[in-house]
Amino acid sequence: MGDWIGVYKSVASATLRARLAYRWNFVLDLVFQIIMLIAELLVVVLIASAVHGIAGWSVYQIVFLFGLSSLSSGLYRVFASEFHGFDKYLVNGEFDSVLTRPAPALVVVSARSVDYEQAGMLVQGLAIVGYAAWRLHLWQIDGPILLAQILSGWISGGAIWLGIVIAFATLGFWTTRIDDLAPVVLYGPETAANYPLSIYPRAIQAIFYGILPVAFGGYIPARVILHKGLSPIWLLVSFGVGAATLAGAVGFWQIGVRRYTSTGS
Amino acid sequence: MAIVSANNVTKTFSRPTRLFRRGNEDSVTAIDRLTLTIDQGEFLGLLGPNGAGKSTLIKMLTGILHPTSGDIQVAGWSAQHQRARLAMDLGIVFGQRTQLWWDLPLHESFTILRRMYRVSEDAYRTRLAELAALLDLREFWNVPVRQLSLGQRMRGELAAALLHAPTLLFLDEPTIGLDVEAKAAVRQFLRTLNQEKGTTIVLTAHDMNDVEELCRRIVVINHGRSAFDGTMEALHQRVGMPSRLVVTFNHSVDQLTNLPFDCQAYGNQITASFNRARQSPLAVIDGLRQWGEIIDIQMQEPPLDLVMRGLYQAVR
Amino acid sequence: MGTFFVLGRASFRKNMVYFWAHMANNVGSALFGFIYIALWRAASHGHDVGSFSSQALVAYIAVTQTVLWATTFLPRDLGISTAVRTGQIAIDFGRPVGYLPRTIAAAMGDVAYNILFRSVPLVLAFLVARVYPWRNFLSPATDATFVVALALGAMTGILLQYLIGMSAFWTFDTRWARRLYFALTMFAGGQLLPIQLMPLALRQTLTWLPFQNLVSFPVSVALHHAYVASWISALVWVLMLTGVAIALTHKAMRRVEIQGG
Repeated sequence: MGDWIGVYKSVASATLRARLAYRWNFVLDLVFQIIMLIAELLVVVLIASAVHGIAGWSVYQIVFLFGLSSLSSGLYRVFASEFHGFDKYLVNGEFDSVLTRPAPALVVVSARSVDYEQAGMLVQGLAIVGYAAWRLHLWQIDGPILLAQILSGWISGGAIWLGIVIAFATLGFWTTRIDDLAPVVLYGPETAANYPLSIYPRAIQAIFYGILPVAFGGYIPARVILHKGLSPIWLLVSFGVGAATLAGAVGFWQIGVRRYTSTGS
Repeated sequence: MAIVSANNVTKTFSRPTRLFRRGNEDSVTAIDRLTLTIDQGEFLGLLGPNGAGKSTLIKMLTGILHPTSGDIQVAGWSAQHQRARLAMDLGIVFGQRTQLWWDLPLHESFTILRRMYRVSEDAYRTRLAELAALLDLREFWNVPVRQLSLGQRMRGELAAALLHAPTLLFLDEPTIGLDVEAKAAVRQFLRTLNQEKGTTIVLTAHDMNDVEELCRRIVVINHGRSAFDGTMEALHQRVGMPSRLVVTFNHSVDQLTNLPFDCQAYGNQITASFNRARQSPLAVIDGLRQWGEIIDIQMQEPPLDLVMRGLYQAVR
Repeated sequence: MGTFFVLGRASFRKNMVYFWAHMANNVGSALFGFIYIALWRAASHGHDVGSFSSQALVAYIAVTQTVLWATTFLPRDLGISTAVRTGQIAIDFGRPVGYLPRTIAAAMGDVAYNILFRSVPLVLAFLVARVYPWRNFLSPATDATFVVALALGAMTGILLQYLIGMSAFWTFDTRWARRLYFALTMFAGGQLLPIQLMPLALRQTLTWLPFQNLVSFPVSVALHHAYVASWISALVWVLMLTGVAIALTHKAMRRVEIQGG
């Protein structure tokens, strides 16, 4: 196990250096990411402040939720980029090379998956959460507890998103082409999770609680932290959902790899 | 000692299906009850027409695919159940794919591979010095892989595959796209590796020159079965492709007739084609001597790709 | 004319291969529509936002989602940068039929496919969810103007992508041009927020940019929100972009002739 952490670290740092070979692209990518996210947030803030909040959430509460959600999904964008575009491994047979390595396929693909360009999302998510917390006077309650709550929500959300993206990649072992499924499985839920889930039709909500449980990666923790009618026990529930999602996805991945080695499609 | 033993191995595929698209569900037998043993130190050429099951076999031997039935032991490990452990003993070069980090200087790839294959610092240093000397890596050691010439890259690939001192090396088209000089360098290296280090090598190639020059044993796969297994000479005999003898006389000769083999005359040269399985070259020369004084004799073996074509036709 | 029709039909058929994958993608596209509709609905609950009623906003989002497929979701830079990188472009330039009209014809095939198998299913989904403003389309005058506006929008989208592709002759990487285009469609095109809701100075500026042709203009025509200025802007831009595309094509061809690509 310790060995694989070493492998992961050396491959991940090599990936960073490879990216830095194109230094200007790297910087511009980072700037572009941040501008796009801020612009989207600004539009929401504009709307929300024009109408004094959405669905019982004040402007800064929404900003807080937006920040927490993008922190969560930011983790999959930064640490699981190769799963996200997993088709290419199956289309050009690159997965064969992965299987010739002396490490579990999940470790090898993960190690190549670190996408530093997207790190701007995390920096910015932290800034947004911090700013909203300040405007909402959350610090006055209890700093360390607040930090622990935010961290717990973030970790739960991160685990949920990593689980979803690994499961998404695993679908490729059956269908090969998965990029057309990304809007349904990844991008749509990712956008949806930025806002209070109560605004969506019940059918869509049910999906976000049950099938793709992104509710527990932003909305539920935010409701606990912002005292919107949920007790702190829900942070534990979210954590449990996160762990279960990730574990389930890893199990699903193993089944997928087994299918691949028996069919080699 | 056997380093590879595949026992009665069968691999069937049901045709892959597209997203939401029902493909043909008929199953295809890629490898059909194949048994193959490779001994330590062999240099084996694995040949066969496209779609014969060659690459399926390689994938099973390297643990990428699992057999439908039968058992494969490689380097003492079960290829099916101990893939990650087996990988430590295998070196793999697929000519059309790279295992090097494209955007990084060549040496970075080695640092990563050292970690991945848990090569100790000392072993790494000696091994690398050796490989760098044999493959002339120094001259492009600090160059990003994407800027290397094809020949340089292949040298890098070979070194990368051998860094962890594998006992068994799989090569798929290692000289594809290389110029004559680079090909010669790669072949020379492989020969040294096999003869001096005792590394077992399994080679698949479309370039028959690679196979002819390097491999002592040839296995031909066709329709998922072993269609031939033996030496190059045995292969020639088996196919019965004519050997050719070019005989030069000190005077010009006419078209000869009434000989038990086929002759073509051109100037003062005669090219005789005959089957070595049925006639010895000496008998042929004796037969020709009656036409005058011979000043030179050249023996030509049929080129391997002709032999292969003959073989594929014979076993179809 | 026959050649262009065949080219368009070929790219239409090329898309057909991935029909079911596209249908899966449509579900995602509809999901996005429903997310933004829910968001706007919740935000504008009971209030008018500027000149838009809550219902009008929902209608704006729904129509936008369907129009995007006709105007902006085309093959990336129409495949031109790839052709430049691989050198295929020299062969393409050498064909007896003009490169620009040929590329446009192929892109038209994509647009036709998208309208039929991307926009129409979305319209159906939005009709079922009762968020599509079908009453507006009962008037033949609206239908006729909408079709013209959509055609102008599609043409603008094709030409802009064409120009991005042509830029590959002078810059190594078209990624930045593509991203900028994406961002401008989103903010300056009215995809995220109707231009009509923006501050006056911004609204006037954006009306005179080509990006309004892609979303804001055709959608506003359908919803009877379009300014006369938008019509003039749309027409002028299509003509201007065509001119620029012709000029750039000539320049690029000369470049290929001199440098061999």
